Amino acid sequence: MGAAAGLSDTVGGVRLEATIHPRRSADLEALRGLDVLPPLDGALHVLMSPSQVAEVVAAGYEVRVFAAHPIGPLDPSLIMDDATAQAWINDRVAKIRSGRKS
Amino acid sequence: MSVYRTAALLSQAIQGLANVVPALCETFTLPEPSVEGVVISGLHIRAGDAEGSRNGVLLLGGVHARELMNPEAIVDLAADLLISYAQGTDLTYVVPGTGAHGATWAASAIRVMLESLDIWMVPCSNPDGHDYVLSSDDMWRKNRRPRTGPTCSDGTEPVGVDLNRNCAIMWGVIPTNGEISCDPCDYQVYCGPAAFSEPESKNIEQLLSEFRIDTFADVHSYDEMVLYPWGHASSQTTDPAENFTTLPTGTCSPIPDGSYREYIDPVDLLKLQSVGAQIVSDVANVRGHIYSAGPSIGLYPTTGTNPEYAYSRHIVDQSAHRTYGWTIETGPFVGTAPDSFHPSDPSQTILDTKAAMLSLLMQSVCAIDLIGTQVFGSNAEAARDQLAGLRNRRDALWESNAGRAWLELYRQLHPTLLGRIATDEVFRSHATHLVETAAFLVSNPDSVLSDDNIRHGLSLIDDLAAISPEYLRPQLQTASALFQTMSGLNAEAALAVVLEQSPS
Repeated sequence: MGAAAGLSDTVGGVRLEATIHPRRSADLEALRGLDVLPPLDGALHVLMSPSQVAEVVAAGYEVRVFAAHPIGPLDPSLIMDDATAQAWINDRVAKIRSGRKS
Repeated sequence: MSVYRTAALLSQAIQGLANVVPALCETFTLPEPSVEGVVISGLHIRAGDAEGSRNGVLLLGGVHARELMNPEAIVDLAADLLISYAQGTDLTYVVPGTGAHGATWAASAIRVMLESLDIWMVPCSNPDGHDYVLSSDDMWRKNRRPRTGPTCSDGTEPVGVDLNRNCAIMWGVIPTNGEISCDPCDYQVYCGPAAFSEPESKNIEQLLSEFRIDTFADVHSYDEMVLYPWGHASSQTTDPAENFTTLPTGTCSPIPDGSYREYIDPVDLLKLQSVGAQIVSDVANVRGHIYSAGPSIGLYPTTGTNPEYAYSRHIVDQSAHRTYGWTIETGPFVGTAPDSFHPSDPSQTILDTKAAMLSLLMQSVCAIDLIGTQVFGSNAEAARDQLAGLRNRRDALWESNAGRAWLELYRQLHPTLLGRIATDEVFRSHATHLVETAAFLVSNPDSVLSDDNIRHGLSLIDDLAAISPEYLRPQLQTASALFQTMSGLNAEAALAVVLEQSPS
């Protein structure tokens, strides 16, 4: 099945960020189902679960993991609250109104 | 730094803008609510006269849920445009300290954009996925279609469809090394059970059918690229018969012929390359980041994407409007995927993104259409007929190297030309006279250019030369010299002259 189970097996767990390098295999099927990102330094760049790492390594690839990300929501501090959103609107509305009066 | 709005707050933001300037913009509701029943809204900006057909631009964001910067960039751009228009101020995007001199659009250029385009913005086209990123999984990409297939091998339910793989262009074909899957358990790139199975992608189809859209941009992250068709195969310009309409879809396998290359109209390709180069140049002015432009297969092979569907429509149905489809991939890789998809401070990437969209808006304005609207006033039918004749002659210029050089000169002069039309009444009057004359000559093959016509034209060229970038002046001198030889020629003879002699 290659890596087709995807990252759904890691909910509540961890997601690994890695580059993948051919070693002895060109079994492309083994790479199916990975979350492929734009290439990194020319290498295949992915997010994958620990079980996917095992499958891809078993298929003959070298996997270089360089970051681990807990699976979960966006950092709440990055989410705009209602008051900030309203302040954004008020600021833009004031600028538009000031221009239309002049 | 709280920077990312919920889908509801994004809708509130555009509603807040529309409330204050109802004469300039209004919100609209997309035909289909999301899978989870959320109403999806957009913003339509159109200043100036209410009547008449205009070039349309559709800017789409948030198709992929985790790419959080782009809904913010689109909402921000809407506000910038309205403020600039209201205050009569230039728009400049620059990051100090980078050595870049800034990407600037004059107030007159913004005015021209808003008064000659229909601008449609859908900042958050996948609200369910967007909010799921904020509440549950920051790397979610698809929509939230529940149970798309049987239980997966790991015991979980398959959820979601990739909305940028669900359109009716080579749908369900899996190119070699392609980023698309027919497996509902695929975490990111499942193409869905059928083309346009998802309400969020069906909305795009319906917008393209209902409105005249000349330019469509789907804004994604991350990478710093400006992409145009094709994504499913390499392109070729020589064999129109080798095109996607002859291929089976929904096969869940590659195109059978491994040597297949997709036809693209060479004129369209030149236009896409030329516009793409200008976008790259404008973005670079913000902070020096050099985006790359090219066919979307350069990122990775794909099928069923929104921009390629938009461009393919006129090929499938010749009565459909021709829409140039773009993918703008914004933002650099900054060490990890989460930080690249939703950095804690996206402000600089948002400036790049807004510059890319403004560049595309500017290049979607047709100066001739703008002048023609003034010539033919509110008589839209007359304008359409007369301008169609001029467009046919313009298209003929693509047939020779010299003709293409003239079009390239026109493209480079375009911003200057638009600014002058907006701000200088005498210039506008000369330009109007010239377009009127050209339309008359095209409609009346026996009529010829008079000495008076030549004088008007030369005055226009001299005026442009005085305010154009230095490097364009030799070409304008050539234009001037050539135009002086055209007295007594009819439209066909004049066209033959410019097809023979290049301005450079």
